[in-house]
Amino acid sequence: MQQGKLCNRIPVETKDKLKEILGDKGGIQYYKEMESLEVDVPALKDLLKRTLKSRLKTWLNSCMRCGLCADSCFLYIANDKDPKQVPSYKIQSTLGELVRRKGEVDTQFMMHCMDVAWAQCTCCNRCTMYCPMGIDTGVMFSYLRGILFSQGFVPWEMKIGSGMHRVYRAQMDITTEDWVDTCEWMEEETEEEWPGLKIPVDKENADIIYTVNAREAKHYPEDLADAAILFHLAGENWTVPSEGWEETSLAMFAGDWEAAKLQVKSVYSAIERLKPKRMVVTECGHAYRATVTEGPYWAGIKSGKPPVDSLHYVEWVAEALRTGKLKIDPAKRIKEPVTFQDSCNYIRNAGLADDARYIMSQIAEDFREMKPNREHNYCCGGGGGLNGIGRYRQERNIGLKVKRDQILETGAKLVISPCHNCWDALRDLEEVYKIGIRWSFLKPILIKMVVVPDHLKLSAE
Amino acid sequence: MRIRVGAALAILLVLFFFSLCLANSKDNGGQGLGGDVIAIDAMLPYGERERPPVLFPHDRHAAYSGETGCLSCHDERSGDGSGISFAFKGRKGLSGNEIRDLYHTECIRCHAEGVATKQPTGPQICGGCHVRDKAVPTSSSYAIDFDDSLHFTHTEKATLDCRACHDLLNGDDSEKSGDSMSPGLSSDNVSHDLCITCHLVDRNHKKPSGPLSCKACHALPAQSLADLNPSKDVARGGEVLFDHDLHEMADISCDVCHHKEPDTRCSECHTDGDSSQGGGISLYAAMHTRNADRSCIGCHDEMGAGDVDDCTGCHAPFRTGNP
Amino acid sequence: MYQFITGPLLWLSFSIFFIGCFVHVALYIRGLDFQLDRIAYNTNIVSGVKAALRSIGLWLVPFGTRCWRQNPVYTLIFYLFHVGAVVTPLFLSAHSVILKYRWGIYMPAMPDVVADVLTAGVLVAACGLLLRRMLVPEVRNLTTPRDIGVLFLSVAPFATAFMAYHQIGDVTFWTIAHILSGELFLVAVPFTKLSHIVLFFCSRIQIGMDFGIKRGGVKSSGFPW
Repeated sequence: MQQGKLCNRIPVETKDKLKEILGDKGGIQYYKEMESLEVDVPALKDLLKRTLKSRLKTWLNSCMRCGLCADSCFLYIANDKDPKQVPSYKIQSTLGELVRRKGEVDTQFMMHCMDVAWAQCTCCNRCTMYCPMGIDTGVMFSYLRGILFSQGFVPWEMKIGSGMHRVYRAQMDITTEDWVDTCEWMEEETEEEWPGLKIPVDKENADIIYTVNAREAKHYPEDLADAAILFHLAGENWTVPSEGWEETSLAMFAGDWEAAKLQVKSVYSAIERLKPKRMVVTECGHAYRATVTEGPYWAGIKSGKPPVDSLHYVEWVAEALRTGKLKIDPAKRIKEPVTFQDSCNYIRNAGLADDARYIMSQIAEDFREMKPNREHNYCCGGGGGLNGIGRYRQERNIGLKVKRDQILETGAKLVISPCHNCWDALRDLEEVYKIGIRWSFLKPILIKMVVVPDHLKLSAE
Repeated sequence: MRIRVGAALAILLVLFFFSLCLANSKDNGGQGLGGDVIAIDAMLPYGERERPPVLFPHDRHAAYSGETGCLSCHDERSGDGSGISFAFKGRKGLSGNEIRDLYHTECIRCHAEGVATKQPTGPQICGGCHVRDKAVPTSSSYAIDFDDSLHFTHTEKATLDCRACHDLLNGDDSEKSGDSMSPGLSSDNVSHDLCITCHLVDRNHKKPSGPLSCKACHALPAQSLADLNPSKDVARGGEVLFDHDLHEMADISCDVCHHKEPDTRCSECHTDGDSSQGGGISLYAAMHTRNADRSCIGCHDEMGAGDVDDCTGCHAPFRTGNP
Repeated sequence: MYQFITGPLLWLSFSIFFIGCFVHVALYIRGLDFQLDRIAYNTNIVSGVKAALRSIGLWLVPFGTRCWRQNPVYTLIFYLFHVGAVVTPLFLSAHSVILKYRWGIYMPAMPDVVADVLTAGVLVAACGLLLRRMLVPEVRNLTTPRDIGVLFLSVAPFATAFMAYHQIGDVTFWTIAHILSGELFLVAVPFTKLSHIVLFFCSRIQIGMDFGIKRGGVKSSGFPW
């Protein structure tokens, strides 16, 4: 069965392979090879037999095709109500068709499936809330992505992302040394302003183990510094692991379940090694989903829970504000209209809407809800990996219109977004549509307004 | 596979419908329309009916009653051991939905048995019996043509005494036994009780007997109920040619008979019906009661030697044949 | 004909229906896999059951969910259709009579007038659903011939019953057609998406537990369907 040199059914497992595929700028050769990548039908049939169980079968067969999911999909709205963007149609014409044909499909069909699975669904699961039958199209697209990955039909960036996890246990090429260096560097950077601030690496029996998104380590190290400052101010006994610090999972977006398992196991083994009481994960939605919500299942933990109680950053902030570990200076609260971007992954799919509302009530004087909001909020437009795939930039940009209009309607110019994906989407939204908004994580905002306890103040003051 | 199953189901459905259309394109016979139709409206007293009353063709049922005859559907009358109770068997003492259930159980069972034994049988479906919007005249709208020759048949061939019929027909209920009457039904049943019981007893005794089928008696064309009230004034014989002078000469005081006002006729107060007028005494009773001084027979009994038992002493003989 | 289709054929239809439904449920439960579905069905049972009941309850109540409230017209049609389709056959006096006569089972019955209105409701709603399928672009695009077929299959018993009850045309024909189409419906349930009669509950319980156990049910007051 014909396979390409770059585009094939074999996951990237070595640095050399990574370098090779990264060398193909934009995946031009990669996608060309995909056009002649043959489908391994026996393997596909076998995979379906092993993994297509009653829940998915029922979802596919019991879809009443009532179309109630149409209006729930932001991509359907953004594409002027194109019937081809109805969630039910999208899944039935891809996974549904694949199952009906019992896996006997060709390359062209698989490429079509790929284009739908990554460009027409961000796995935000919003349609699930609107389906009388309780069909979760987002979960089905995740499953389809797994099938497509196993056959090599995966966007170039996703192939690389999953390879990164396999090689580095991180979504980017950051080694343990790089990470520890970054921690030390940030400790030094903050030394002057915050005497006594430490970023403790591999401290055992801490109250909190803090895990991050590799982007923070590589591109936004000040985010790590901000996190350290807030822990410092809150007086938390915390640590970061030298290994197993990455909680994101491009492998999940890619449908590479094996790599997803490797990745989350690295975090869990860090927990087992350092025996912290709790885990706090950074302001990232899909990372929380990968490591806290889905991860335990990939790792085969029967209880479905991570080894220790795990909190999203908004949970930790809400708790710190409620218990008084962090105090807001009322004078410094945000005066201008501000809105909050509810992330699908920890609001809709993890129930943290109330914590987010509590935080906003503490830090903002003119908080404006988007419509719809909380669990019903629309995806930012770039979830599920869509932000990072060049091949679908156009589709992504069209999808951003819904979020643009939602924000414009609030009248707010500042959007709080404790999620990397949403944060990126908002940045790109401003770049594409230029509506004059600013966007921010929670950490920089909090640092500007928390009350510094006397004993932590610079003695010079 | 699924598409094939779906297509097969669709084709089956269409086939079923077409075959049904063909199988039922002929008239299904409908109900026996005519003098034997009884409307089973037993649920009438219990509020609004869900379905139209069943129009029950009695003769068609009687024809298939087989060896058990009338007893298939009717209880034997208690007492003299001959004749039947006209109510549907098991019906007495039931009320409301019990009656409905009884009819459903018995009718459906019998109709189903007919199919099982490959006998001609009645409708199987709801609408087969509960026929909607069909103005079918029931047996009571088919009058009985009890003409002179039929009267003659009863008096001469069957040699029935006048009182065999007329006492009962005119409301002397001394002979009515309770169980011969259906509960709560009209006095129409008196004639059913009288005629059918008599015909039935004769037949059971292997004697020549009158007919038992509905249509044999209810033979006149259906008329509206208003037109049906048979005129009792048309005398076709049997009139009493009352000789007033003779009674005056017998030195009977006027007020013995004219006990109200001298000019008041008997029938002004004593009517035919059961009305309370005339002290609840019907005209028939006013004339025939034995233990009353004023009645004809009471007076004659007293004056004559023993009981009057010959009607023709007063009533003119019935004319026979054509006048 | 009548004796056969209300005798052996009815038994056969009911057997296929009940066994088919049972098999669907059994296979559904057997096919659940904590790791593939990524739901720890056996932990947080209280939260899971609560969420499952909520998931069914809210969706069974007209306008109980945001989706119903956002589509009031469809919701009305939907409930008109389903309430009539479920309640009428179960509590029809004529069915009750047959049940009592045949098997001695007592079923409470509703007045025929109510049944008649509900039946008419089913027919009207079915027309509405059909029109919606043909006229609304996103629904038309989703519709397959099977969807139309299943709609006809489920409406046929009601249409024929309506004709038979009102004795429009030949009563025997419509009654027989009613019985046959009803049996066809029963037989079709396990083999078509009509199996949602039971799978709706399976699916709703499952997704309710998903949100109750895993996706925030423990951390929020209940999923806002």
